[in-house]
Amino acid sequence: MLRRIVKSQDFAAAFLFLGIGAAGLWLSSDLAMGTPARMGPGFFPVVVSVGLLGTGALLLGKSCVAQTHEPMIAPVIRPLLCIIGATLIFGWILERSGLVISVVILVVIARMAESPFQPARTSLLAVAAALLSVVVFRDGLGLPLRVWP
Amino acid sequence: MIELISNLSLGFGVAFTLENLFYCLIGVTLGTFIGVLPGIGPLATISMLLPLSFYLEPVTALIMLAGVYYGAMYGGSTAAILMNLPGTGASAVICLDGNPMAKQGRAGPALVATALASFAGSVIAIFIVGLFAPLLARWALSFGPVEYFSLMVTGLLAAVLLASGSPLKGVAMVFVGLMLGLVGIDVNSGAYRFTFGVPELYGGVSFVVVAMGVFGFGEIISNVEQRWRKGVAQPKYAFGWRDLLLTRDDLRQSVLPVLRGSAVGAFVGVLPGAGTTISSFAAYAVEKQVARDPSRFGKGAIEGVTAPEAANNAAANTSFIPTLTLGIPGDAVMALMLAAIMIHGISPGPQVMTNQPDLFWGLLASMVIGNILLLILNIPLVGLWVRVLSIPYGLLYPPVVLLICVGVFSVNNSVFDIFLVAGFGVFGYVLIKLGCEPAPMLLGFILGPLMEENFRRAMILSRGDFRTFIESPISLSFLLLAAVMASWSIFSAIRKGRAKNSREPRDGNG
Repeated sequence: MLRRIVKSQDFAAAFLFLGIGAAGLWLSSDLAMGTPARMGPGFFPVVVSVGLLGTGALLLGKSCVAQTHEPMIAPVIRPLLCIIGATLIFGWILERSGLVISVVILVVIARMAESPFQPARTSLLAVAAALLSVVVFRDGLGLPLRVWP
Repeated sequence: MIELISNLSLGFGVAFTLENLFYCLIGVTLGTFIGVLPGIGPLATISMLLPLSFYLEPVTALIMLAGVYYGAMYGGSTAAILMNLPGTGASAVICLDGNPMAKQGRAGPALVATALASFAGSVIAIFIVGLFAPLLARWALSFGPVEYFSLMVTGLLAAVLLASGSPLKGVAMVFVGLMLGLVGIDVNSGAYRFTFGVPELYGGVSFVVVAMGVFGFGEIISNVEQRWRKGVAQPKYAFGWRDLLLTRDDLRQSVLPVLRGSAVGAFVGVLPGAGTTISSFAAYAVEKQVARDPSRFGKGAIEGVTAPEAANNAAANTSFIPTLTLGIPGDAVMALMLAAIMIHGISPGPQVMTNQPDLFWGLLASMVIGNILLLILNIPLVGLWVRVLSIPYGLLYPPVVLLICVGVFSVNNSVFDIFLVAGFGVFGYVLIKLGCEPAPMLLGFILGPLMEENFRRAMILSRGDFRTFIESPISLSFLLLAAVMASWSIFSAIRKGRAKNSREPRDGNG
């Protein structure tokens, strides 16, 4: 029973909310509260953080007494890693390496999220994406992006 | 009524010239194609075309901009339905049922229904404006900070109820959204809040970054993950001409929701600040409350697409009332429109409707014309859009990741937003794992700053007396409505829980 509670979505979500609420409270501790009539910058953040803490606590209580539990599904790490990684690397090199290289790298890494890596299809997709990005984003929409390093 | 007809004929007389139609078509076409790109919405498109509009007649310029606005909104709905990528608060609502429809192979009907609903919404709104414009203007003026705050509380509660998951989690997500909305420099005191010393956060987090990360990335990652688990399963879609059209049932189920949505949109849209977004959420919540079987929502109910879309367009029409008569633009797009008006030497004010009826009614007529052109342009395009879904997912998602990255970059031309969207992507993925719906968070995020500001003003005016919220009749009725909604949902949750427990214990988080 205990194990089912710990693995339930609501239990974990409660801790996420409690964590965010606590962080909010801690981060707004430097801000002046003021009074309701003259609210300081900290007033609303504190109210919101306390609200989130309260809701998190209620959810925690509910997840412990509930008779049925929606279990969490174990994550598959590779899609998460590849897609987020591709985004981070894209952001990191975009201004240095230019649009073409960044797009090719983004597409290749993002494609690695899937299991049989298909080199031919991937390179075709990468080249097409790079070409279209230059035409649409730089020439069409006029975004300030360089094409080459 | 006669006055309405003469006003409308004046409007159509102004708007219905070959030149205006031509510019409207340009606006609608550009708007649609740019609006489909996630994150690049009406704002970017209008900013691009604004210089061109200086050389045009005021009415022509506004008609073109209105065309862009409608086209981009429709394009945004297209991206929301096909790929679960909302670029605006309104299209986040379209995601809720539009994307499930697409997953069931009904993207065609969803897209056709959006086009028809937005057309119907704008036409209905014109009649509402024509009949009740002075009343609506007065209703907008009767809203002070107290009323706004109560309206937003009600709106947030409606957002919680519209999510199909547990209400408790929905409330928590609203708080998370409110907190995200606080990031940046406090406009009143200049204090830095939740900025972690990062200069890029001083101006706050942009909506596009949050929405794209939480909806877009969350969706892509969990889709790819499901393909790992189940092997490759590309759903089969039918592309016959018949499969794109609405069935008789779809139409029957949409008529009343479109009427209700338009009415909700027309009234909420008048309120400057957050009209179009709140109207979509409110229309969705209304439909869910009146539906015979609310559990259909979130799983591809067509009313969940048509009502918010009608509301959104009706709100766009009526939001011209505060923009033109009070000089208060409802959102950034309206602000650009206002700028376009003022560049041509027309100053907004209560007299605009009587002194410049050609402008006011011409603009409203142009919105109908824009919507007609939108229908003509987009019904044939639906077949093309739907085919996007037949691209193997493995080839579809990397370009979508790219679109998200460039889209968020384009908001501030800042690489930092790309890192931020990656962070929100992880957060969105965690939320899916924990069964938390992101839609209430988005509304909290949009309304947070407005809520704080109106609460502050209300408190200053009442010298810190909280009774001010129940002394105003409008505010009191909003709060009562909120209380009724909350107690109803608690009541039905308990009843459902009892019914469920009396049967065999199954999974569920209601």
